[in-house]
Amino acid sequence: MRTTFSGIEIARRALQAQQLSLDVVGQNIANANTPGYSRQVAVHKAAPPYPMPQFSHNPVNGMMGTGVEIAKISRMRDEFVEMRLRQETHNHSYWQTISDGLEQVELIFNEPSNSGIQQALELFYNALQDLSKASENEAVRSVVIQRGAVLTEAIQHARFQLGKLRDNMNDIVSIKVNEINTYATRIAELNEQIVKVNSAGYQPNDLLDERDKLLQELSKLTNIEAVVDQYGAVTVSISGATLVQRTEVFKLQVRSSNQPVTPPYDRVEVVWQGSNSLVEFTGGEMAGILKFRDVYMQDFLTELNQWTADLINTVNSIHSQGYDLQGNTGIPFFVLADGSATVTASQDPSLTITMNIKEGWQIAASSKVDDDGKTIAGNGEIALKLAQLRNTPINGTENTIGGLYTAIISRLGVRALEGKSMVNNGEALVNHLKNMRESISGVNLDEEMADMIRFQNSYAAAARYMTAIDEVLELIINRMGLFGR
Amino acid sequence: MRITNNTLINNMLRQLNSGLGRLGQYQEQLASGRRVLKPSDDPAGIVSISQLKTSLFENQQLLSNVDSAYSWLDSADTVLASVTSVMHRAKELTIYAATEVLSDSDRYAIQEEMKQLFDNVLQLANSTHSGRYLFGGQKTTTVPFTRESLDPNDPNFFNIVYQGGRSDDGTASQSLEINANSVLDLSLVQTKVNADGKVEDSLFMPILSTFRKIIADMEQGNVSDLSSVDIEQLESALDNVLSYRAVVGAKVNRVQMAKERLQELKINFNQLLSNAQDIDVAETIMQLKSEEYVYRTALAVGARIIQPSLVDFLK
Repeated sequence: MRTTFSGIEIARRALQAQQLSLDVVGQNIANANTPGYSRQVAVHKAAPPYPMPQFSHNPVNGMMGTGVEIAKISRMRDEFVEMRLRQETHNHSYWQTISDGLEQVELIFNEPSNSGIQQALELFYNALQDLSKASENEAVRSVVIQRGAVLTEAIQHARFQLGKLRDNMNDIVSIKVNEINTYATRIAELNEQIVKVNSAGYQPNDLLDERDKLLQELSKLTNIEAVVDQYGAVTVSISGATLVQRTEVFKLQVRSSNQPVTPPYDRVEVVWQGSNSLVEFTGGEMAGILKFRDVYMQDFLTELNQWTADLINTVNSIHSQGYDLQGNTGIPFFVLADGSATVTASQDPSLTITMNIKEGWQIAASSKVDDDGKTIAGNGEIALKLAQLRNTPINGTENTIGGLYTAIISRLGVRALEGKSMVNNGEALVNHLKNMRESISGVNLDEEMADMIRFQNSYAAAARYMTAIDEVLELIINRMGLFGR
Repeated sequence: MRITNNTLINNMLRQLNSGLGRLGQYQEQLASGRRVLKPSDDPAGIVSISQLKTSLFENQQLLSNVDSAYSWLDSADTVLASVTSVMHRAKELTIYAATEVLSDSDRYAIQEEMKQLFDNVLQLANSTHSGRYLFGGQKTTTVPFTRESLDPNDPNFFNIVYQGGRSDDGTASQSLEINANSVLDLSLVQTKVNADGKVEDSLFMPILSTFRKIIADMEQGNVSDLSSVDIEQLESALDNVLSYRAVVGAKVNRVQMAKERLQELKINFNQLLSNAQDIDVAETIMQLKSEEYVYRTALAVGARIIQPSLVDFLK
C-alpha cells in the first residue's frame, strides 16, 4: 500500500531535480568562455525505493520508486590529460624562452646585412689594400682609421649588447621566482579551502578549476609534479623537492652566485629559502632562462671574445712589425679600454675595444726604414700583409678571421633554427592536448541548449504530473462522500 | 572526439594566425627580395653567403687595384715614350755635332739644345703619378734624381745622384695585389752599386751620363768621340729604354688579363650570391598567392561555422 500523498513528493523531487539541472546548464552557459572552467553535469539518480507495504511478503511485487534525486554535480575533467598538458607546457615554454632569446641574439649580430661586423671587416680590409697602394697618403691613412673605428664599434656593439642581454636574464630570474612564490602561496590557500569543503562532504568544483588553472600557469614557469592526496590537497614539487604541501609553502629565493664562470659576471641563482640548496629546474621558463643565460649566452660571448682576440692579436702582431711615418715601430692597432693589447676568451664584454691609433702617421704601413732610420713611406708591405689577412688562415687553423666569424654566425643560425623547430613541435603537442582537454571539459553550447530543452520539458511534465495528482486528491477530498447530500 | 564551440574558435584562430604568419614571411621575403634574412633562415647557406660577400668585396678592391695599376703603368709608358723621342733628338744633335764644318754659333746652339734635352730627361725621370714618384721605388716622397750641384757653372751640375729605392734592400719594388694573394711589382726601378759605391738606377742614369758626356764632348769639340763612342752609348741606352717599354707592355698585359678574369668572377660571384640569398620572385609570388587563398578560405569557413548554434533555431 502506498500513501496517498507520495505522488506529490515524487513530483516535487522531479521539479527540483530538473530545476537544479537547468541551473547547472545556466552555469555552464555562463562560464562557456571562462578560462580553466570545467563543464559540470548534474547527475540524476533514482531516489532510494522502498519495499511496497503489503500483508504478506511477496518479493515479486518489487519496490516502490520515490522519484529522482541529484546524486552529485560532477566536474568533467581528465587528470591524465591535465598532467600530460603540464609536462608538455614545461617543454614548450622552455624552448619558447630559448628561441625568443636566440632571436634577440640574431638581431644583435644583424647578419647578413650591410651594417654587421662582416661588412665592417671587409671594408677595413679594402681600406688597408688602398693603403698598400698609396701608403704615404694622409687621406688614405685616415680612411683606414675610420674603417678601423667602424669595425671596433661594430664588435663592441655586439659584445655590449650580448652582455646586456645576459645581464637582463638576471632580472627576469628574480621576477619569475616571485611569480612562482605567488602561485605557490595561492595554491596552498586553495588547498586549505578545498580540504575544508571536501571534509564537509561537498565537491568544490570551481575551486578545483581555479587550482588547476594555477598549476597550469605554474607549469609554464617551471617543471612541476602535482599529486592530489586523499583529502583533496595537492602536493607540488620541483624535481622532487616540495614547493607546496597542503597549506605549507616552501619558497624560492634569489641570491648572487659565487660559482666562477667564463666570462665572469655577477650572476644570480635560485635556491630554496629553507635549505639554501640550489633549485633544480629541468623545464619551463626558468630552466630556459638559466640555460640560455649560462650556456648559450656564455658560449656566444666566449666565441665572440675569442674571435675578437684572434682579430686584435693578429692585426697587432703584424702591425708591430712595421714602421710608422716617423720611423717608430708600430704600436698596437687596437687596444682595450684598460690599455692592454691582449684580448682573451674570458674578457668582460663591457671592456671597450678601441683604436689605439689616432693619427694617420701612426699606422705602421711600411716594413722598412732607410739607413738614417727614416721610414720608407711608399713601402706598403705591412698594409698589404694586413689586407691579405682576408685570405690568410690564422693560428694554425684552416680558417681566416672572416671564416671564423661566419662559423659563429652559422652556429647561431643552427641553434636558432633548432629552437624554432622545437617550439613548433611543442606547440603542436600542447595544442593537441588543449583540444583534448577542451573536448572533455569544454562547454558545447548546442549540447547545453539541447539539455536545456530536455530539462525544461521534464520540468513541464513534472508540473503536469503534480497537477494530475492534485486533481486526483481534489476528487478524493472534495468530491468523495458527498453522495445524497 | 567531442567538439565544443571553443574548440572550433580556438582552432580557427590558430589556423588564421599561422596562415597570417606565413603570409608575413612571404611579404618580408618579397619586400626585401631576400630569402635569407636571419642566420636561422638557412644556417648552412649563411656560410656560402658570407664567403661570397667576402669574395665580392675582395673582387671590388682588386678591380680598383687593377685600375690603379693600369693608370700607373700607362703613365710610366707615356714617360718612356717621351724619353725615347728626346733621345732620338739627342742622337740627331750628336750626329750633327760630330761634323767638323759647324760654325761656333751653331755648335753653341746645339750645345744649348742638348742641355735642354738633359733637363727634359731629368724632369721625365722625376715624373709623378698621383703624387708619387714613378721611378723612385718605395721612396715615393723623395725626389729620386737630383743634381749634385745646382750651380750651372759647377762641373758637377750635370752629375746626377739617385736617391730612390734600391734593389739590394728591397725598396725598389712596389707591390700591388691584383689577384687573391698574387702580387704584381709595378715598379720599373732596378738599381746597382757602381765602382764608386754609388747607387745607380739602370734606366735613367745611363741616359743622363751619356748626355753628360755628349755635352762635355760638344763643349770640348771632341768630334771623334761624338761620332763613335757617344753614338754607341746613346744607341745602347735607347735599346735599354725600349726593353723597359717591353716590360711595361708585359705588365699591362698581365693587368689586363687579371682585369678580365676579375670582371668575369664578379659576374659569377654576383650570380652565386643571388642564388644563395635571393628569392625566386615568380615562385615566391605563387607561394604567396596559394597561401593567400588558404587564408581567405580559412576566414570564410571560420565565419560560417562559428556563427550559428542551436540557439538560432530554438523558438
